[in-house]
Amino acid sequence: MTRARAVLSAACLALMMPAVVPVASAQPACLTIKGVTPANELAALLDVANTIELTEDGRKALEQMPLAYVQVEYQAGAGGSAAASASNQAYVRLLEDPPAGNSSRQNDRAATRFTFTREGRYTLQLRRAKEFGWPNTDGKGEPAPGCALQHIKVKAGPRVGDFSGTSGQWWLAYRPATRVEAGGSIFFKRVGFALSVEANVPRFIGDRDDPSNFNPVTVATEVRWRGSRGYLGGSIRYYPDEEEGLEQYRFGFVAGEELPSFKGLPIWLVADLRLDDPKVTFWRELSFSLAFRFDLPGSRP
Amino acid sequence: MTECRCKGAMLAMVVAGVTASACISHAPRRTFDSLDPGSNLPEYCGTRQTTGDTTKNAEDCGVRTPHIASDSVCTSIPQLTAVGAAGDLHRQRVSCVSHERHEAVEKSATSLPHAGFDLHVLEFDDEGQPWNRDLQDRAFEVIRQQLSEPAVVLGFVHGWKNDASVCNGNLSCFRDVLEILAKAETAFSMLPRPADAGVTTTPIAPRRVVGVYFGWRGGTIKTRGIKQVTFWGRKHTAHTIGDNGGVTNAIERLRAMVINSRGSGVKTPGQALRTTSLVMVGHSFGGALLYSALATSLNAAVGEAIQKAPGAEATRARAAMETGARRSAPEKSLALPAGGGDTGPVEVDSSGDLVVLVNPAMEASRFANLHRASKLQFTSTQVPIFVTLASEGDSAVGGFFPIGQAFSTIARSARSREIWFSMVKGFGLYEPYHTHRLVLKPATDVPEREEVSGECRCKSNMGKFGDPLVTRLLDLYKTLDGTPDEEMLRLAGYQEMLYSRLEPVRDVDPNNPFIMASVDPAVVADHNDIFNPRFVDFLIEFVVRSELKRGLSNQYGQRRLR
Repeated sequence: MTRARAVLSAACLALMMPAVVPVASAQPACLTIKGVTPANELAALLDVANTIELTEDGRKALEQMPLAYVQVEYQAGAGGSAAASASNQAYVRLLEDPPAGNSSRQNDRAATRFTFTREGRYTLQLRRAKEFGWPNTDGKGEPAPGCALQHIKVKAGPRVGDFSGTSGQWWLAYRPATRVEAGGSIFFKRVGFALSVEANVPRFIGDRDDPSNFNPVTVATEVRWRGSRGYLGGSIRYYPDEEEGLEQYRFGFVAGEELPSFKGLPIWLVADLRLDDPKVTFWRELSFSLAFRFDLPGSRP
Repeated sequence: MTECRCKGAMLAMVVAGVTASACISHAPRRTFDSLDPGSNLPEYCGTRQTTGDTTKNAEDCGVRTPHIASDSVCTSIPQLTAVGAAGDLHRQRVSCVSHERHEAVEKSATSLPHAGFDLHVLEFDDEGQPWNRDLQDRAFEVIRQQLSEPAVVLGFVHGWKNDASVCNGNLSCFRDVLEILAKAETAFSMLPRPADAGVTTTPIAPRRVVGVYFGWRGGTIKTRGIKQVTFWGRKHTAHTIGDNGGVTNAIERLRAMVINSRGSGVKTPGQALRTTSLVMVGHSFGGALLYSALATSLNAAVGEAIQKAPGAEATRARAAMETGARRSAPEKSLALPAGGGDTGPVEVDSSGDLVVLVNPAMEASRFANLHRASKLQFTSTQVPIFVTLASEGDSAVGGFFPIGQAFSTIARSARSREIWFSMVKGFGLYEPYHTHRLVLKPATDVPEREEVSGECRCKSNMGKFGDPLVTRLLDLYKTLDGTPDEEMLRLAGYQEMLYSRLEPVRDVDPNNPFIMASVDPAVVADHNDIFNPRFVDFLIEFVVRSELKRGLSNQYGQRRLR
């Protein structure tokens, strides 16, 4: 009985397959979405910039035609009942190879970026053209022969709050005019611990036997609390060489603001207010500095 | 500690210098008031008397244009760029007035003809009030008379480190663009047309081209190195000028005049290109100023449109807006509801015509509400309203601006990391808000960049590219004079221009009136590279298509095009 049920279920599933996998299996997929598992039915996340790329089959289908367009068409909601309504919209983008020597247009390498902002089903169609013809009706070319009409299911991704879980960062920083820093930190949700080493370059490369050349390298540990803009924290900096009238362990207040990233790597503006000697007139013993911090690959904010 | 005190003293000196300079050099450049001692009227201008009477003089300048003699001067780009004493004298003469009447140019072997153009300079002080209110009132009266005939009104708000001086770089390039527009209008008017179309016969009169340059004190210090520290002061001033009402008032007066001059509805698509239209362009802090002046009315128009959307559709549209406003990270409610056509459609009032911001230097968070609106569905008759174009090569807004913002927002909190980035990133450079990308077409005949120097000359030599551009645009004009392809009028869909193409990077409605586009550096290389043929071509073509769509919208009312 159980076996018969299983066979029946398998048969039902086989019958249902065409409804959920509408791509004709005989035709190759000419387009793919980078980072999404290549399958007959692609799935993409809502409001995430995707890169649509040509596959090898897609390149072959172009047959020397220089222009390749992708037509993205919204196919209405999950229910699909309104599939033929006027809300169906086609979005056309050009896929092209980058011009030689222009690194600023690397996104165009036979690919294009597209963000799906609605849940539901979309279709992708590869089109080809000999020359620019837009806005004539045939300006976006003809469907590339032999290519399947590809379907995409777009759904919302899980909502993840800021700074959940564990994250780590490591960085290089420049503190004008002469100091450089290397460091690393680990955050558990919003609370983090950091360790950094700072070198004063002229002292570091100067005469180490010169008694006035002290503390070329210092080490600091910090406790940080992460907020939306960046972090606030307290630090203890260790000065190996003794300086007259100054402490070897000096306390400070640190603040970092996250700036827009450069080539995907976060940049930070870091402020440091340090108390060199705890006295009653402590404000005379404060020193303030700013630094630019550049996170290295592998860091996760 | 001594080193620290020295640094402190130096910083204090810089701050004092900046403050003093900001206080001392506050004077207009073109809109002098001889009765106001603070207006710094140059000696060579003498005492001018105004009668308030406008005169029409068919011979003067070869341009039949209303003007007030004491407020205006007859000039031309060759006269303004002439070298030597004669050129200096002419530039002095032009610098004393706020209305330039540019002479008509006959067709020659080296130049296409045009029917002349007018350039009005309106100047505002740091509090956003007109430097010379009487003069501004007279300028509006002259413009009103000029708009008795169909015209193209192009407003430009300059940015940081610029002003309204007669040979200011932005103003010089703006003149070149106005001349190109005048040539394009003349060329369009001379296109052969069938007389039996029942609309018009050949030839038609070219539309008048009227430029309005909004001047303000974009720079306070010219000393290299130090002038960068005026960033915070000038940004704040730009927003203050925009907020305080003077500029809004001026723009609304222009809008009212343009709407009045259009008269009754347009009859055919081609005629849309023969009615009066207004385009406002703001660059850098000028974009910030313009947005501050118009943001309230833009958001109000969106709110009104949502409320006016019919029945249940409106409820869904409102829900989409409200749920969108609550989110701070990707979530289901951000999306247009499944079966997006049920969401609207809405139609936002576009009587104010097109507003274009180029490399605007302000924070992206100011666009948050309009970004929600860009997720709605719009009627097919919706006309483009607001376009932002930001170069990916703009290191000033992309690199320097966030650092400036990190300091200037020191006392403000952000409720999420995403919102923080929208507070420090440039208005057009915040990826989540991008709806389009403007990319150079891989064509082989894209003009190479040029750089020239000389008094009153546009550094990028924009004028030189005008004739080839107009010649190539004629093909477009021929297409538009008939019945255009519907795809061409879905302006938020895919659009190809002569040198560039505008591609949607997300599935916004193809009739979306709010376009936020990043621009390929091959089209706009950096912050100031806005007067180049690739970009000017895009602007002209986009504006022409918008005008055409407005004509069709008027013609068909609320009927769908598709």
